[in-house]
Amino acid sequence: MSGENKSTGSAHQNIDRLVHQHAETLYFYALMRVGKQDLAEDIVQDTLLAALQSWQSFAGDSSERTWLIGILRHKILDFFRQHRSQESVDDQSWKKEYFDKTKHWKDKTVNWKADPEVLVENVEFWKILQDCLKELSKVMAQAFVMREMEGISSEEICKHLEISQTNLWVRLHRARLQLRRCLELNWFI
Amino acid sequence: MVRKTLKNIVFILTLRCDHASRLLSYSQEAPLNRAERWALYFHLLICRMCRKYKKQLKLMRDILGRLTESRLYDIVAPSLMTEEQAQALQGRISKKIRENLDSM
Repeated sequence: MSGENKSTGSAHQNIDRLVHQHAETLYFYALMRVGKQDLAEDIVQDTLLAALQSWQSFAGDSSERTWLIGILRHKILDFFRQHRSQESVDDQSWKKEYFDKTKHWKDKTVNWKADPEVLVENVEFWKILQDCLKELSKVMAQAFVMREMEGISSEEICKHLEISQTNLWVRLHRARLQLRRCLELNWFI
Repeated sequence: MVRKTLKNIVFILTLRCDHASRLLSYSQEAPLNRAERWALYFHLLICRMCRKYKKQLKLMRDILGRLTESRLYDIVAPSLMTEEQAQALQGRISKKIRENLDSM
């Protein structure tokens, strides 16, 4: 792969190969994070387009896949930023969903017996995890995905989404409670 | 001073699950203060549910943190999509990219 040719002609030659080798992987990476198939597809398309346009900047010192995932992650963060919301999520009423009047858990939780290394390669678990993440509301999901899946710090997320730290923490807390319940009911019980 | 100490003692002794779960979550973001740490410590001694939740939070973080490994997506993709669906996806994406490049 030479990175010398800047014309769209060379980009055209690369399209089929790039799409063939990477589209599905990028698609599922995006789908896990944005939840909707059409959105994931659009983001992958944007990513590959951006890659073709900046082909000459691909130094080749990392793998092509790593380079593309890097672009994809930026596109996903851009998407979250475009769809950010300052909505307050701490209206207190949600607590009744998880805790009774005596402020104890409503759910009877079980011990989760699992080896994470094995679990993440289990397709059936993936389907459950995808479905559970889809059920998070947009504001919870954005924050949760950035924090837990992309490993971005609280400070960075607050800046990116223009929300306060308290707002972010409540979003994360609620997302964790909701995901916990969903995973338990659909997988661990 | 005395009032503050008393307040902390009451806080430590009366912490319940709703607040404890919040502290467990927040402790993944920043260190808790001393009163919060003690309150959580005593609560976890007596509360099995919150002890389980603490482990579950750790496991969730571990699982989700692994999802940056792109090889995982190669492993699961064939099971999440049929060959025909994959080809259709590739076709749509190639087509849109070509249209975009041509219109530039």
